[in-house]
Amino acid sequence: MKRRTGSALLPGTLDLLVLRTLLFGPVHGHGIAKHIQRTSEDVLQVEHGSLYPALQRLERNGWIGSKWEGDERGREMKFYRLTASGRKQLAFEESRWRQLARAMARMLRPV
Amino acid sequence: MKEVSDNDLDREIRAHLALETEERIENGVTADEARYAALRAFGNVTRVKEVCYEMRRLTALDHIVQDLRFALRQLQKAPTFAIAAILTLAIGLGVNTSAFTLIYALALRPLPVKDPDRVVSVFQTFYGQFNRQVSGNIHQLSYPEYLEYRDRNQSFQALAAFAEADVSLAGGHTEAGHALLASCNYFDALGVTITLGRALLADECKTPGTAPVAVLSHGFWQRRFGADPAIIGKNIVLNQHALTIIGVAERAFGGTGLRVPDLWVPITMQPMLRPNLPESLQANSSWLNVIGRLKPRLSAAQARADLSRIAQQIDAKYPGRQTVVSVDQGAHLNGPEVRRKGLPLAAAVLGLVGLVLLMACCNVMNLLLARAAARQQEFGLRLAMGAGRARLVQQLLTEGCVIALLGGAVGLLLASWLPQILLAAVSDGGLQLNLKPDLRVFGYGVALSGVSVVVFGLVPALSSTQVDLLSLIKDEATVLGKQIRGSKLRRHLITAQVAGTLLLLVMAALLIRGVWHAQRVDPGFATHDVLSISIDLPQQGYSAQRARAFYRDVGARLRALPGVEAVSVAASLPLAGRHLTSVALEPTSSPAADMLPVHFNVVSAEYFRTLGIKLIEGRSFSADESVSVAPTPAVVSASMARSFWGPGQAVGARFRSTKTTYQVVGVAEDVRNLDLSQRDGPFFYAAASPDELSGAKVLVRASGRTATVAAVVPGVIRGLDGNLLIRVERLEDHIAQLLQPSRAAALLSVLLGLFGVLLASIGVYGVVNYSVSLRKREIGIRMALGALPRDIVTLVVQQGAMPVIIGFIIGGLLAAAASRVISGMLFGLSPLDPMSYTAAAAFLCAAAMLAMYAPTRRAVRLEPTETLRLR
Repeated sequence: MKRRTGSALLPGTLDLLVLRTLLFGPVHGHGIAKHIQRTSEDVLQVEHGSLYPALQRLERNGWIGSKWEGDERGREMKFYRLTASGRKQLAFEESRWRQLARAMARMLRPV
Repeated sequence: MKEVSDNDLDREIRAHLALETEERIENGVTADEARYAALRAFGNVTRVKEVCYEMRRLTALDHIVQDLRFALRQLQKAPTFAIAAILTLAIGLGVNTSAFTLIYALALRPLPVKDPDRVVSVFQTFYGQFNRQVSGNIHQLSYPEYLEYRDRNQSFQALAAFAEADVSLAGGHTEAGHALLASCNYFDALGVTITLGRALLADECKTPGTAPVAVLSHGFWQRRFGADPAIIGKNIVLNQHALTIIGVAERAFGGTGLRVPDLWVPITMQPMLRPNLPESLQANSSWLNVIGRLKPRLSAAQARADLSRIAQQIDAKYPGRQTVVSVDQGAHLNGPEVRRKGLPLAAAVLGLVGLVLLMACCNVMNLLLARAAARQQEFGLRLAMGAGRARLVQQLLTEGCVIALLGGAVGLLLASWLPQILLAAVSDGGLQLNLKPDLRVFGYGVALSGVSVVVFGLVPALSSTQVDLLSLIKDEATVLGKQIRGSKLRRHLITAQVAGTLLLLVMAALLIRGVWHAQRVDPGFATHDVLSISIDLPQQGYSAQRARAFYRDVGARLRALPGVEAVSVAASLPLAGRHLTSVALEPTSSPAADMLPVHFNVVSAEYFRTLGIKLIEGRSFSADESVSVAPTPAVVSASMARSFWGPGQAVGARFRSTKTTYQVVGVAEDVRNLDLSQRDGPFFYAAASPDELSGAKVLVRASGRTATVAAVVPGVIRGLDGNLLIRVERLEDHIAQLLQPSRAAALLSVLLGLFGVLLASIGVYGVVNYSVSLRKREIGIRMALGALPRDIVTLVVQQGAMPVIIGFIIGGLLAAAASRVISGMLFGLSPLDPMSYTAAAAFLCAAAMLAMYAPTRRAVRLEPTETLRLR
């Protein structure tokens, strides 16, 4: 089996990453995937396909909305943007993640 | 929320892949390679589409189906849990539905007639000053009142009246029969079909005693006449009166009372069939039940207003009396009296069985909570995967519904035969009720199941889905935080269960002790060696004079039998009937003052010898005195002698009631004539007076030979009159029958109590067992640090014992409050009888100990090294 250089995502974290990406404005699916990869310096590998069920679920929960629009080169792409409740959810998940990260950091502190 | 279509998703994915390919080409890769790489980066396109499709497809209905399947799978996976939960609930629901079935059949079920909704019953309640004869209950109507209502109302299509009559049926062998005296519009009013012959005609109710006709019930026709199709026109002899059979009612019609009558006879035949009520057709006397069919579109309230108007006019003839008419939906048991006595009883029964259901629900809730705790990881995972909490709650509730549905189904099955058994246990088969569950009984069961789901399903579902990702990952925190909170709830449940169970057990213990007490108490007279003989002289038309002669002959013949020591006659058997009168001392200073209520019995000379009641002073009456001496000789009880005249002063003294003057000839010791629970207060025995003796009982004393004497008695009496209906039983057995209601109640509460014990034991076991598995690590550490098995036992038991002890206290207090309700069934036993409370508590305590034993043993046997490795 081929070994991946990046790490797989922890369950539940994909939502956080997507929401976070949309914080800066509407982005389409491809852009989200690229952004996650780029900003994590290619540590977090997102299989592009797995993004779409997640996007659909977030939209169902009312955290994001979507609209077909032309991008800067005139291509019709489906753009996602954060809703008000998505913003709240993001804040909530972020704080939880920070807590978890702190806990993990404490656990892994050199003895 | 915007829904995404398949096309939309296709387009989006195509756009994504195109963009990715383009980017890669710009980076200098060949077009083919770029397309390939883009696809690889995307992953399995078909799979992604499928997942998205699945996600969209699962609408609410799909969720339910999916949840159902999942729930069934979950139950299959844990069959012990499933069976325990379903059975627990089934018994709880079954017992409740059974109780409802009985109450429903007695008081709520519509009569088995056409359009039962339109049939109502009419009763009266009197206020103010009034004088009224009562043979039945005071709310019943008199015949003149019925006629007034019938002829002058504007609200009824027909208004019918009926009264029960116990009759003797002659022919071949004499047997007891149950006749219904009915107004001649009875069958028309109810819309009952006469399958053979005809119904009663209006003319047959015109003149008293002139229409000797009868309509048979279908069952009686089959039983007595083998369904003879040529029965019409034949005769049947009732109480020595020949009646012509004119019809047979349809099979489905079982009458309007609790007992199915054998036949219906015109109400105007009352003087022949119910001769012990002289002049009932004219008198101001309560004896008739009245039911009527309302005119279309008229309500019961309108009919009530109509009848009240007539009642006011009747009241004008009885100054000082105000009549309030009640018109209620017709049922087998009805009337204000039934309502007043029956409602609290029904409420008590439903309350008790409701308690059992509540305990069953507690148990299922407990089981669910324990399971939910074990499934925390699963819930956490599913929440992390993005399942909403509402979704999880919905799914857990579905599981609860499945359990309730299965439990309810088994419970209804139980309720389809349990009422029969209960009825048989309570009534000795004398009562026939339609206990077939109908839509309402079914609805009651289903509604109760629904309520149970909310009770036992919602709390665990809500409390166990409060998992968060964080505490799931930090596993240890879960043990210390959330789950301990859940187990607090479970401990409260145990407290409630133990309290409820103790309440039931105390009731059971009190009732058992009460019956036991009543059986052992010495009533003061002989019961073992005495036979009581009832003879239907009034039904056979014996006049008082003839009856007196008859009893004299019977006495002579019975005395001649070997083994018979004494024979006497009494107006009623001790403990089985009461006569109350008011007496005043004679001579009195003030004529109207000092009339004191005193109970009495009318007996013949040898009564005291027959029952072994000692005379303290004076003598009994002689056989001649029983005929008619004035003043009437009387024997008074020691208590009456003491409180009326003082020691040694009674014999020779006189007193009078409203009708008669008595002279005291003797003083008898105090016995229990009225109530097994206590000796009588003032009581006197009057020498038999002629007009009171036709319905009397014969008492025979035959020490050690009651069986042989009982066997020959009917033959001896029939030697005098072959048509008589004779019933012989030992006085002891007769008195035992008086204990029947208490015995039935004891049986019922023992059953409920045992079920409660079972439930509480399972509950205690579950909680302790669960806390042991939660604290494995802690126990391991303690043992590793040198704790002794004794310490571990203390630790475990302490946790289980606390809720139990609190439950004991609450249960004891509840029982003390509730036992007052049944104090009437305890035969003088105090509702606070310490023995009963101790026994119930000890029994429950033992059960709780037993339930704690297994988990405690498990805790003690834990291997410290193993538990420490546990994660």
